[in-house]
Amino acid sequence: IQARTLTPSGGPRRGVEMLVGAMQDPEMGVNMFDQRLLLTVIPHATRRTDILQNNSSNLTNRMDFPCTEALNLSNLLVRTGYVYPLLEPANFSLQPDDSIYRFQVGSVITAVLKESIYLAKKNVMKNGDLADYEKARYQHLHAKINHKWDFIIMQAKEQMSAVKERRRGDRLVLACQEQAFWLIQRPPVRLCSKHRAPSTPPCTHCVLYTAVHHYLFVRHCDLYTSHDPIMSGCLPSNPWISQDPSLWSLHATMVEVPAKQRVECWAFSFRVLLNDQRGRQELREFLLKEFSGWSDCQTFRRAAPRSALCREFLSPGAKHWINLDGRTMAMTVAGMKQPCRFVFEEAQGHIYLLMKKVSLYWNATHL
Amino acid sequence: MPGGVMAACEECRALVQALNKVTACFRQLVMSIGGSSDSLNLREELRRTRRRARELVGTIRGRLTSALRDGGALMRERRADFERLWVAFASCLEQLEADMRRALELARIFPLNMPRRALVQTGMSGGTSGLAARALSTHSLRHCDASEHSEETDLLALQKDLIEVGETIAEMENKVNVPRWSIVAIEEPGAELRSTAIGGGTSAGMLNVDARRRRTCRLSRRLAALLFTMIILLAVVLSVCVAKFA
Repeated sequence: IQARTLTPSGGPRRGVEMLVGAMQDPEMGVNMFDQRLLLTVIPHATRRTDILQNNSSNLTNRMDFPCTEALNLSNLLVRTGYVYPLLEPANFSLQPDDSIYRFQVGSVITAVLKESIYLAKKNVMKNGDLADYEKARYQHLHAKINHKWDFIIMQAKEQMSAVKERRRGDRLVLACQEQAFWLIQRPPVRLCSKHRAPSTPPCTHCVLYTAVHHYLFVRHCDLYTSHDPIMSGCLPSNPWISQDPSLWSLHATMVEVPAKQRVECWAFSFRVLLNDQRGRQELREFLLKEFSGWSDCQTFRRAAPRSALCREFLSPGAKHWINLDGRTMAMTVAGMKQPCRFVFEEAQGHIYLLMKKVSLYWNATHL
Repeated sequence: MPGGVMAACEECRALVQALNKVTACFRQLVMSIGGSSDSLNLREELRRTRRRARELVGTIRGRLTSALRDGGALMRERRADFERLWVAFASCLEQLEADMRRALELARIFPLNMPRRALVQTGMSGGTSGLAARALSTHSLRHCDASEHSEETDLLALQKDLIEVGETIAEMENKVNVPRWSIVAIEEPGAELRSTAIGGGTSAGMLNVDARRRRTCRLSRRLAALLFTMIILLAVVLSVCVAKFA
């Protein structure tokens, strides 16, 4: 969540996609050449040096980063599959030699169903000669999703027939892309320790990521130290030492009067309040009061002037009161000097906005 | 009556295979979005394939739901076959939904009407009209000269289709009770290495016709290559003779 707030718009993935898009520019982007194979020529291959050079110029000119981060960033692009190697498919790092690479549209969807289809296709292409870990995975999937196996075989055969409609070069590119995708998602067992891919694509501020995490952790510790029963002791006593369970009964979930420390914790963040059941109850009661205040304002607005209802609201010492900030209160009090049906308009608007914010936050945290 | 049930089963099977074909082609088309072979034609092919998929989904859903809710004795005998078809249909829908979601995400990231947005140079340069023609079961595909659909309407339509597919999946789960754990696959591990079709002999579906057509195309191509090499050899022999006796 913290990383998302750092990137320009739409999350860390968008940042990487913008970077990859910049690298495709014909003038300012990475140099590309045609890969010549035996019978075909496939365009848009690139070398390690070109990627590094482009990244270092991007980092220094556009993002104000030291160009020493270029190697790290390029490695991350390879490890997460935005760039994949062509000569050594299982080696997901920038090799210090003349290896060639190609870009692909970042692929993020994975499913057990698709893995089984891929393995079935690979089984046919290799004529049954899968690697040991692939065979084990195949057997495991066959046992796990056996009821779908007829569909898997049908779809695998159909995909292999459908791809024949494409040009030879495109077929090779698609096969490489699919292989790269699955080598990242399911790396071969022996290479597991070296090439562990992160589960999410990196954000462009990867250097700051750990620093921000560190800062937030330190801040959390500072905030909660005085409320931590182990760090700062607990009143009335530690039940494990004194055998007195009164601490637990004081901090019971739905206790009548919540403890002081508990209420102080609610002030740290709205999420803490919502996560505590007793806190939610307090919030509900508060909102009901506010809503009743709002509906009272609504009733007042529709009431006839000089009616009994008006006297009830506008006379001094009226029994209804609502929670307002200073500015709104001042405006309402000024308005009451010349009473009309719209005197509580500001107050009503204030309550409406407050309740709207609460409901939006509630929805956001509970999705 | 038994013949009627058999015919209904075979018809459903053919429809599910057609949907299977459309799903595979749609997936292939989606893999080209955002890459170097992305174009307005590709987006139009995606639209048409989606429309065909929607038609098939509607038809199959009606047939399978009515077959599985029918409590007749004859239906009960063939129930295992219908349940298998139902699972295959549900898996097709899941795959379609996932591919549509990916297509929506990619179409939002790579809009074609913005000139500054660069497509990723993936190395793919060929067309995809063959795939679309296969999905729509036609020999060739004619593209419209001017696209009537703007990108925004296309995205909205894609979103609507995605929601519709999700609702179909949910509806089928609710209406029909098929215990998936009780279904055992016919195919054993490694069955894809053999060239038999799924579920025993199928009716002469479009799949077989396509395979036959492709085989004859390959044969004629081989004959043409053979003839060409013979002509070249003859020309070489003649030129050698001319050089020798000149």
